[in-house]
Amino acid sequence: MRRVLVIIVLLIVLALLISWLVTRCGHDEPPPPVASGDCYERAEQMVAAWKKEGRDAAAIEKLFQAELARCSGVNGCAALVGAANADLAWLGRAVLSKSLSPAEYLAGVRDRTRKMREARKTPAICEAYTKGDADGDLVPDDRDKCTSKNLERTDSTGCSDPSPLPPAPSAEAVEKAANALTIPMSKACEGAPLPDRAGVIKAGVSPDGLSYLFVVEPITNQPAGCQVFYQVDIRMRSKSFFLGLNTNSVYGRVFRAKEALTGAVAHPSGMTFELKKADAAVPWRGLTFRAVEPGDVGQRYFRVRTVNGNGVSQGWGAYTLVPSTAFP
Amino acid sequence: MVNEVTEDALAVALVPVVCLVDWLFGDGDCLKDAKKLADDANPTEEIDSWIPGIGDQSGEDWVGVWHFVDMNPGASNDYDARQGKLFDEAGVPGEPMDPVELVLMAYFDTAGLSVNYDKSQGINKYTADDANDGVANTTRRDQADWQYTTIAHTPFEPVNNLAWYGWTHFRDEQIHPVSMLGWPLHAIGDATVPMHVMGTSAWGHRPFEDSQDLIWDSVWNFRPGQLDAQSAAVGTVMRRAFEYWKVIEAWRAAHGGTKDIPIREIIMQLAAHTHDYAMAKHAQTGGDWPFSITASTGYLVAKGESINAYADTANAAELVRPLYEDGMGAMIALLVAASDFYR
Repeated sequence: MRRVLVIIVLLIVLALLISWLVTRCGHDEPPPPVASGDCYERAEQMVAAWKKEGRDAAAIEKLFQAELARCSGVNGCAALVGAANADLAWLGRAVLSKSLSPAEYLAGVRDRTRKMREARKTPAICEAYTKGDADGDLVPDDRDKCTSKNLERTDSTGCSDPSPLPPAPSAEAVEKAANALTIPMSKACEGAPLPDRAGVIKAGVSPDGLSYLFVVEPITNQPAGCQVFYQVDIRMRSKSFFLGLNTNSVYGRVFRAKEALTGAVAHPSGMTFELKKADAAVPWRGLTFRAVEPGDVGQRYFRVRTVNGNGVSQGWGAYTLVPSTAFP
Repeated sequence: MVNEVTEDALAVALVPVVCLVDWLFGDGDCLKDAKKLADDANPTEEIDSWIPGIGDQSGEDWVGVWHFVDMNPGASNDYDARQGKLFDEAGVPGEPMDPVELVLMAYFDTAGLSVNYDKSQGINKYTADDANDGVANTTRRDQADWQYTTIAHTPFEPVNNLAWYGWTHFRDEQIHPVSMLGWPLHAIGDATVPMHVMGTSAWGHRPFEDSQDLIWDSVWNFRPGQLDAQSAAVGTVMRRAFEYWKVIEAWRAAHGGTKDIPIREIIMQLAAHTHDYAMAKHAQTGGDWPFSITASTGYLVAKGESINAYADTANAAELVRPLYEDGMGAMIALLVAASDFYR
């Protein structure tokens, strides 16, 4: 009888060992990226590589926009589309910062959108563009008869477009509308350095079990009054052989410093933010799943992007595995 | 119900500016602490280090972009006989762009905000690619077509496609659910609003619509002792209904006596009437009605005053009444034609 019992126990241990071995693959690896975000994350990684290569910001923005276009399924014309979208973003910033008149802005937008739409319909333009556009006017070098500069409007031969500027509201009216829309551009952030990167240094369930808490390193390199936003992505990896669970998802949220908790659970040197269990949008199970059986996975990877009130950012930090710990 | 059934969220992707969605459409306070571009603001110069990031922040708040039909001459109409909302072509012909629309456009571009093809409900619903109703089919777009640039430069399907979606469900479902008529009825309502047929979110769009509650009684004279005025209005509505009914009956006769109706054509005809009437009045009133280039900015600053300015316009009820009469005529014709499905 004892022998039978020993054999049963050994069989159970063996089964657990096998299940652990079966599910072990990837246990210590970073979780696979979520499919929909895969392409975009690759694009962000490329930005980091381009920075290391020493490329200038304007060039990186165009390259990055081209990658985003590819992520959206634009094939063959991504370089031109990316450059056009980068120009459109520049024009938008310029008119909102009053360094470009509304009429010049509208003229620039029409020039860029016309060229972008024409190129999308004409693969030859896209193909020629990949061989060069030295003056950045979106007219490929092989058909560009003039040199233009500073987002100058051009015709299809790359020479200056002499047509009058389109009718546009006054700069004062645009400023008034922008004010009315309370667009977040901050004088306090003017001239501010790039916000430092931040990371999550601790995470876990609150003592009362009603919140998931995590601690973000505070940013201290911004001028007084310049608001900093902490955009946090949490990648949750939950896997259980016995529960038939195998999920990999991302939850994102934006926090401000003033949302940091105070009191007993507050971290002495970081900002403690909370995600409430009662909030239907909070993926509570993913945040709190604990590995019990051998082979189970219950991991949370965090990344943070700090952005100041003018939208200036160094981009996302890397995903970092943060083990669950007790608070305070 | 009519106002609720058609509010399909447009999901957006690539939100690099923190809280942008909050700022545009929510009343969340995410940005209220970010110093606004206020009186003394001297906003930043172009930001060298500005790199848009990624966050798939799909927003349920993004609604309404499917509710336009741009009847302006010269509109691109790349994908439909008449395009819907397209920011960079929106507005009153011959006039400058409204500053609110310009600022929105600049921010969409700055933020890199584009449609999320996979999550936007309206894309499949309102792509009318097998309509067979006399109006050109929508040219179906793939993900790249929808996402290659920002919302500011992406044309949306027109509101008559929204009408078609609801109508085809009413027509094809066995029980002919009345609730599905909410789509075409809503579209008829939108097609009577001058700003909807100019494709503009500005030019007094919101204060004009909000002011209708204040002048409704005057528009219809539904007061005791004003029977003659009411009769005249009802007579006009019925005449308009008869005209639309004739369009439906002629189309039915030409299509083998079907019970179907050319709903997109009806909406386009109505929108064309609204467009012509609005442009004529805009010229006659010296640019005072129905379009005002300062009203949408005013609405954001002092909502009540902006609404009252429309309600207090001289002869406001008389000016708007023909739009109601036309729209109500179209509604009656639609409902009469729809009732044939219950015979």
